[in-house]
Amino acid sequence: MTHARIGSARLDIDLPLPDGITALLGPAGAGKTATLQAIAGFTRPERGRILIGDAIVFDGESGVNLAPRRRRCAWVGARDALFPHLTVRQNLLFAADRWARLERTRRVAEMLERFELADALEMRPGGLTPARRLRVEVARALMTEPKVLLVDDRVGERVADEALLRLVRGAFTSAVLWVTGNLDLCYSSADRLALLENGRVVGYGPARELMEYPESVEAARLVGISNLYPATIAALDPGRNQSRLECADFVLTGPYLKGHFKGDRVCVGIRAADVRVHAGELEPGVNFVAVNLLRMTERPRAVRLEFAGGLAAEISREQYARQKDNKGWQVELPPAALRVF
Amino acid sequence: MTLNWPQVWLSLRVAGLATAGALVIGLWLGWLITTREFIGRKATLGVLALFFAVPVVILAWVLLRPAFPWQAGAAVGVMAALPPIVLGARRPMLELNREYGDAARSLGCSEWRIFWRVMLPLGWRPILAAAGVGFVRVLAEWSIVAAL
Repeated sequence: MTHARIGSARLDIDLPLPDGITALLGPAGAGKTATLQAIAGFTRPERGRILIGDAIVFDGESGVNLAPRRRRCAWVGARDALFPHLTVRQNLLFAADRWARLERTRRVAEMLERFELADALEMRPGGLTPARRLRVEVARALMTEPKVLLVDDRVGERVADEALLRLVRGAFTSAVLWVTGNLDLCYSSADRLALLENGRVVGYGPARELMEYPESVEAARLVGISNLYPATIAALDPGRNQSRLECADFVLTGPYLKGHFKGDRVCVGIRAADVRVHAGELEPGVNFVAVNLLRMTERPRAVRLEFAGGLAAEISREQYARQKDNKGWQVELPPAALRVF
Repeated sequence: MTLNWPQVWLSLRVAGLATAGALVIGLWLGWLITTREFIGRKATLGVLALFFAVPVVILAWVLLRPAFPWQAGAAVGVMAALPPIVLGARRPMLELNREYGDAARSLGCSEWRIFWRVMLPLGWRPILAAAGVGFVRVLAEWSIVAAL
């Protein structure tokens, strides 16, 4: 079990890292890299305690601060750090220095095989694609048999994919902290998700659960819920499992809100992909809101519609082709898709 | 015009020995300044810059006496060759350290091993160029001292 409790001018973090992949998500400047650097020992926090396995590697009070090379903490930074003058095999051998020659060769061959790099062993890093370079770097980091693996997001490139995380999971069973901005990757491959904003953890939990049901407005924004409205609870009906939420411009029917009272100020959120779009002349149903279309932007597999009042919806290209000549627009906010914070 | 070969040979020996000495001290100092935060780090850089500004002729005039052997001249030359080597090698070392240093440290490497296995193989060109500048500086200025 790895646990980082870090405090400094820009960071105030308490992050448990059990075995498995924990994705670290947050906007630029949130402190993701600073967190990784503090755990790896490249920067010294002002206070706190960092445990890697059973070992205290940093303790602000007693002044313990282990050097990075003694922390058994594998680090893959945001910049490509494969040694360009060495081949892939030599890069891995570099990290396997503490074993005898035969053992070293065996371990390197095994790791190359495991990361599907056997065909590239005599290649220099410059001849590999960015995705394969990241794969080699992760394999090299794991050669040291670390207790924790830290991977920073690659600058300007989204090279980490599900296949790589699957390989990491097969090769390494201890804690992995993986910084990424890829929500799909978090959902498909991470066990846990930690959401970071302004140097604070604003959400932590099982990845899918946290993405479906974020705990706060900040967390909701980070997991891609863009439609967020302040609302007042106007009615609560546990018998019918319903609640009535009054927003500034419309009233919504939502699920019953356990732990809330009538008159509470809350925030209602819904993902753009969960908003249903209808023609204006259709008979209004539950949670139908008449809206004016402001602009349309094309996405790789969808079309994003932005309406007056800051409401956004994502629909398929086919649906947009059918509806683009609508005289008026209505959006439906399905009660089951509403999230209340 | 005929060359005074014994003097040329002496100048080459002084410059060669001074550069070799400055290279050993300079690389160690450059690596230390690059990778460690210590009290007096900026002062060291300031002193080096000051040495860079002082001509070897003046250093030699202050420190050397005619009775001293040529090796003493090389010792003065070390001081003259040190600034270009440290200041010239510092920037590539800084960049290499930023790019590869942290990764190598997390792999369990000692600073010594990082220096020999990563910094030197990757940064030998700018280091060689800095050593060349140091050599030429000592050679040129020692030749003036020898001619006086």
